Amino acid sequence: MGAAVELKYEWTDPNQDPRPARWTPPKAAYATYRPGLSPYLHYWQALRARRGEIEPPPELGETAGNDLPAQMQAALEELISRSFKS
Amino acid sequence: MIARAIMSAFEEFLNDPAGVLPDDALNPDPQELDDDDLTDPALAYLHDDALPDPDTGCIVAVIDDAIPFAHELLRLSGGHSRVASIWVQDAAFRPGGAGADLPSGIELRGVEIGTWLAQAQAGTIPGEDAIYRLSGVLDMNRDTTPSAAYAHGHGAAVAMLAAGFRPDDPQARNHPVIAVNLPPRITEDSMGTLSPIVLLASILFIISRARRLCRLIETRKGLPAGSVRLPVVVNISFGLTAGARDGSSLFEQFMDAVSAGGIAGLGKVHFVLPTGNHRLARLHARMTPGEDLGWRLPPDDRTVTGLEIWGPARQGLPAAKMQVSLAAPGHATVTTAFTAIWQVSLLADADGNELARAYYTPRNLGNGRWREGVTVIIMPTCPERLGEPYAPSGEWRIGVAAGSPAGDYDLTVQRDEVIRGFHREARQSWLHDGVYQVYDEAGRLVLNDPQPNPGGKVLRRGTFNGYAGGRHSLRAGAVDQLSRKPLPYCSMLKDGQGGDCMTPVDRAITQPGMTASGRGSGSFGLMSGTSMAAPQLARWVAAQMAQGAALDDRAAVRAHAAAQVPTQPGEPPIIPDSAGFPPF
Repeated sequence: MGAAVELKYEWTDPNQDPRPARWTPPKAAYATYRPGLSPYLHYWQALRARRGEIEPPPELGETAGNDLPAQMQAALEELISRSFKS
Repeated sequence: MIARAIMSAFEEFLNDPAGVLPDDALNPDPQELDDDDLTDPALAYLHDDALPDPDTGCIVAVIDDAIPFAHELLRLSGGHSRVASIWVQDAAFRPGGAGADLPSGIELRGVEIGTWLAQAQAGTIPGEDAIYRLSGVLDMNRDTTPSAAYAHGHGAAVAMLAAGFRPDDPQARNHPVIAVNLPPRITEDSMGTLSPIVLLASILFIISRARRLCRLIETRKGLPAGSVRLPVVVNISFGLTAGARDGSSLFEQFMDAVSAGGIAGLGKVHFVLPTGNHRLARLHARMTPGEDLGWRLPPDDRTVTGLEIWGPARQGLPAAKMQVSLAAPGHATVTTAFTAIWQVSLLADADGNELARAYYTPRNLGNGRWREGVTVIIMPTCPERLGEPYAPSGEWRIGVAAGSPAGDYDLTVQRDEVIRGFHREARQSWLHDGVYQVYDEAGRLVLNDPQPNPGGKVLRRGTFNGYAGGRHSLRAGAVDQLSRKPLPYCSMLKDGQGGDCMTPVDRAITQPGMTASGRGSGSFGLMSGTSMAAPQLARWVAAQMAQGAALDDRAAVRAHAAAQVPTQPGEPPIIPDSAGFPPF
């Protein structure tokens, strides 16, 4: 037998004021291009880091991602060049 | 060079394979491809008696799950395989085998497959199933979903619709097959978190092997180097429901570059994708700054829920960025404060618990034009593990904040479904708009957006596959076999059409599904969706190109089809039934 678990239900009064929420100050998700880069991949890596499966990503400043669009374009051109121009 | 390109595309998995690939799938020491595939008969892509005509051949490539490469519809009457090469990305790596240039898994080539087929024919191994097990494609003891064992899976139906021919069909030999089996952990993730990586690597593999097959034909037939340039039709029956849908993603740009640019030593390459199955799923909306919309998240969703908002294309990136307002059920509405490219911000409740996150991901469209984008990811409404963040289910509110740059903003909810055969506790969210009507007064489904549509934000038009926004990919829609009208689930392109071309899928509006091949020769099942339309279009395009049709682009394909079948002006042509695939 496992330990007893007490199930609780917390009633929310629909007329009460909405509870507060806030956005954290934005910071860069990535600083350098990597294959498959996307918000979904960033979340997935963060989840895996939280679980201790991989190292957590480095903390980045607000504007560290400014060069990413240019890096992504360069990566695409390199991929095209490598894969079928030769 | 191309091996390094595949490695580069696959880098994410090589750095962290435990997420998707079993450890034993990794190639510890990838090498550049040498010329053994042209000189060693055991490594040949096809037996000499299975080589296609250098002038009238057209390669059919299929990227999917669990493609049954030993199936009789992929053989010739002499028993030789038509599968020139298949890359099984998550199979246990096999030292010394073909595919030493690949980062993971195994490659099986036609001659090797033919050897197993001969053994099965002779009774020395017990049939097709033994081939999948002996080759390492199916191993029930490995830590992965054994979709290669499924009686009638997605990959079997798609591959046979695209490239299955009776062994004695005279067309068969001119359609060699190159295939990629994706890892089941990619297939099961309907959100496509890692799909672009494997799809990109898969396309690179197909280009590589298609070129090498052309060189093999030249070698065997004594033709000048570079003289054989077979065209290739690649079927990718996968899709997403969220995205910019303007061809600006790296994956779409790469497909466009392959189709438009021409590849040294290879003929024309076409990509065929399904239009999508989400016309009525309420996953797409349009709004202007200051407006918002309900976004309903079901309980017990153990996966995250995603939504993307894309602003209008404009010259330059606005100094005042677009912002998103979000309200969790019972919580106040709060607005992001992005200031720079590729920022992330977390939405926390009063206790500091993460409820959601948002990313600012504008894209440079070239020529100084930009498109702003924000991706919102809401935590699972039931955490996968105790202690992990979770969010309340119910009606959220999502909007483009007042003060954002003016214009129309497209909202697209990401697909979040359980894929048949794969264990994943996903639940699809949807947008809620009080103006949207699912049924009309007579109880019929409303299939088109009302015109005019005052106040209507949720749309049916523009719900097409998020991978299919490029300028060159071919989008296949589905009609029912009886009425020849678009099926209610068939997504719509921006112009309201069901695809560039349509193909018959469901038997009737009241009889979902079509008969399609299963894993074993002679087996069949009922399959539905535009995933079944794409391979039929791919098959038809390959047949036309093999007959010498110059199908340079989307418009040419459409015009060529419209010339063969009666087509209403302005409507997409329905591919003729003469495509004539054997159903099983």
